[in-house]
Amino acid sequence: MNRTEDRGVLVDLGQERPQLPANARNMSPIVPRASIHGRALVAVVGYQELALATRLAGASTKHYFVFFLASALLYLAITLVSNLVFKLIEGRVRRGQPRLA
Amino acid sequence: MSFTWISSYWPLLLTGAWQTICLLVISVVFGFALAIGLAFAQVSGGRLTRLLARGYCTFFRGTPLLIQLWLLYYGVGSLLPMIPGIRQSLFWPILREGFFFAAVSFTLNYAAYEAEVLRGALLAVPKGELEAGRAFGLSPWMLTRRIWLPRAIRIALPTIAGEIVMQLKATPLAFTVTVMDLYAVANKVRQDTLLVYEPLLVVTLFYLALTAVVARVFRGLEAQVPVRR
Repeated sequence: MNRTEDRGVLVDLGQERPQLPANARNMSPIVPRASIHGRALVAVVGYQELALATRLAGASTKHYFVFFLASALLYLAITLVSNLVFKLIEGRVRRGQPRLA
Repeated sequence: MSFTWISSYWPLLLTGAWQTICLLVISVVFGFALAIGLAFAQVSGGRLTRLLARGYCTFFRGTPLLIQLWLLYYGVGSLLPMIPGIRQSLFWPILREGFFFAAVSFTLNYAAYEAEVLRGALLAVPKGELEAGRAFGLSPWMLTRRIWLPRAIRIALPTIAGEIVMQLKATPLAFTVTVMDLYAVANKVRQDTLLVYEPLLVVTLFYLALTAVVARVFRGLEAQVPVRR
């Protein structure tokens, strides 16, 4: 099942196992940037996630600065954890290859 | 589909486009200047400046732009009036506007992303060219100004074009802090006329046109220096 795609070769990792395109390793630095960025946008359409909850908390207590700083740090923590996970994944898909600069 | 509303709303559309362009240009110009400093701080700074610049980039790249904008507009904006005399000061008419906070937060955010791009580009400049400059007796400042930075910017040009388009697509967030940009105009038209798709379509065309302009300008810039592949 070695299909050749024009952007890379689909690697057969064995029977009944999920398959990754061979150039997934070149994609991995891009994915985290694209995924976390837009999360807070749903607050604009009124879904109560962290950003909107923060604004409500700030509005009812008038401590806007504290609450927004706290939620910024929460987002930062999520980002750092996800960066770590992606670094681990990248380390795995790039194993045996020279390190990038 | 009805576009008759354009005849009465076109001045508002144009001011909205102007606001969007202003936000984009301000954040890109000032952000780029800031990014140059941040990139050099990371590449050739001492341990402390390196750490500070890294921390800055991590913070602004690691938190959503919306949160940064609201932190400035609601957070800092609610602390500002506590400074005695600031309401009477010359700058208050600017400081109380949502536009000011949007411009500042977009600038800081863009600087963080651009600094990361420039950092990579500075490291990607071939060592031989820097050594050649040094061999000709250029001072470090001259070497940076004439060879290192221009060369790095040229390397980064395609990425910078992409970042500017990303920045353009981030500007509608300014509507959440009362800036009358293109998206806010579309919103207002929807509220006034109960038309949903038409104003969004028109605004989309504006954004597409702006993206095309950015792409065209950068294609011109990149073509200035022929690249041998």
